[in-house]
Amino acid sequence: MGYPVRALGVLVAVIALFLVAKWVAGPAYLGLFDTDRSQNVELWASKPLQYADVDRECASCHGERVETWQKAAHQNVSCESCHGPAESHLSSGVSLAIEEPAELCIRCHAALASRPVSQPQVNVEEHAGPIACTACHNPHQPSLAGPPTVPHSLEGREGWCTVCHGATGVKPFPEDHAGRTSGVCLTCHQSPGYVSPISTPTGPSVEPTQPAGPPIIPHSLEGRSECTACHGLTGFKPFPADHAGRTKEVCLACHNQQ
Amino acid sequence: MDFTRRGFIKGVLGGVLGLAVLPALLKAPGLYLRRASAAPTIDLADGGGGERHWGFVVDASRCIGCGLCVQACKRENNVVMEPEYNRTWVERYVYTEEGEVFVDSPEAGIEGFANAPANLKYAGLDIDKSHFVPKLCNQCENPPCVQVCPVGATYKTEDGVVLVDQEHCIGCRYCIQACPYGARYLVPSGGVTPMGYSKVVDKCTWCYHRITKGLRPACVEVCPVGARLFGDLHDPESPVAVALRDHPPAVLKPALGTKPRVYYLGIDTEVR
Repeated sequence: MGYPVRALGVLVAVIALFLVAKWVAGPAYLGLFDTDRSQNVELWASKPLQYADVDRECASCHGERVETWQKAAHQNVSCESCHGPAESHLSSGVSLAIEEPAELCIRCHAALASRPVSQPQVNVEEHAGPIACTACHNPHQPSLAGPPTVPHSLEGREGWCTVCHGATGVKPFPEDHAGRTSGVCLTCHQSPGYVSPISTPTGPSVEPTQPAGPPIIPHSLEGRSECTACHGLTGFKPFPADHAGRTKEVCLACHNQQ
Repeated sequence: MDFTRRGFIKGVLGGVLGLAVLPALLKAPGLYLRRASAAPTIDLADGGGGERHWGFVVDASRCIGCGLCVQACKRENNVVMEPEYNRTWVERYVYTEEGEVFVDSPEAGIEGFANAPANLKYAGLDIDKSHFVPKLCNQCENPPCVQVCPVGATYKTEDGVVLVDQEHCIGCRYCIQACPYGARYLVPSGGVTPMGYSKVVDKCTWCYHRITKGLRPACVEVCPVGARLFGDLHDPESPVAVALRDHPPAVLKPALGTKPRVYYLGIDTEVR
């Protein structure tokens, strides 16, 4: 009768001794391997973002770009697909300018046999050669149907585009065109039926200060300095609708006297 | 008096044999039925016990092999930039006229395939067809990786995502061996996981920190062609539910019974 009780006593004593020893001198990892991982789930869920996933929010600062993009073929391509993770841009204004745009274009649009046929693809060498993609394509509105055609005659006006359409001209080009010279305009802006007499469209090396001019003024200007009296939107020979807001001071910049 | 040695041995052997065979007999019809059906049906509602039931759809017929997903994944999750270590990657499948299949994934596809070197293995052969297949962790319903972890460091969350507790991971690589999809890697000594550990196992979490905030995984967000879709399968209007409504999805290696929750559209049976 005494033996089983003694054995049990020894067992209990050994377990108790082990627990005490573990508590006092056991290594830190003992008991660490519990099965409850709920804290770890929280930890994973709390990791910081790099990609912000806020395409719509981009519009609060970059409204015009976003509007263009939303209407164009790239509307399903997220801002961050090309511009990269935007969280740092949102929190501390790190620039998201794209350094090598062509590399991004090629990623998706170089001709590859493995790509679905529905994907627009070009043989880059044949299609563009050394010309940068962005010389013709606006990444926010990549289709070439995009840039407006030249609505007026180019007779005697080729190479003088920036006189009227430069940043300070009467009908300036968009801000992102800054720095472009007259020689490149016709690469993208087509003029139906016009054949360039200039073999190499390089344009004048020094930008001219006098326009070659849209329609010349067929009448004398004696006592007629108030152009908009007759040619304003409500006049009896109104100027085109896209001239709205122009004042008499600028008419002679483009329209020469007889 | 009936209790003879012969009788005893007969009884024991018969009993053991019976116990061994009976369950197999009971199971057998189901087993054969499942193997015989050509297209195993996938029960999309069969998910974790959580409120949400995340699902991921890869439409391989849309993938253009741009590799933006691989790049975004590495940036978002602090994955080592060396091409050997990936949470997600893009494979190129090439089928020759002779019926051979070649698979490659130069640099895991992170630079895209536009400038990737030609695969000389099929140079000169007549190509029948070719397409891309994005790969990532399948977040299996029955994850073999979780089963084999000796320290219980890898586990499945309530909403069905398989995560690694990197504080507990001892880097033994059993799970890397067990994963039939090659979705896990050991962080090299130079690299650090989002948790700040190296020499532990890391894997795709479906961007757990993003999906729990209502955002899409980074790879899904940057995909320019909608080849990767993510959402709650319980929500009939989610992109994944819509994509799966009209198309019977496939999963990778269905015969293994892992019940993957990445559903593939537009792939052949050769894709594993």
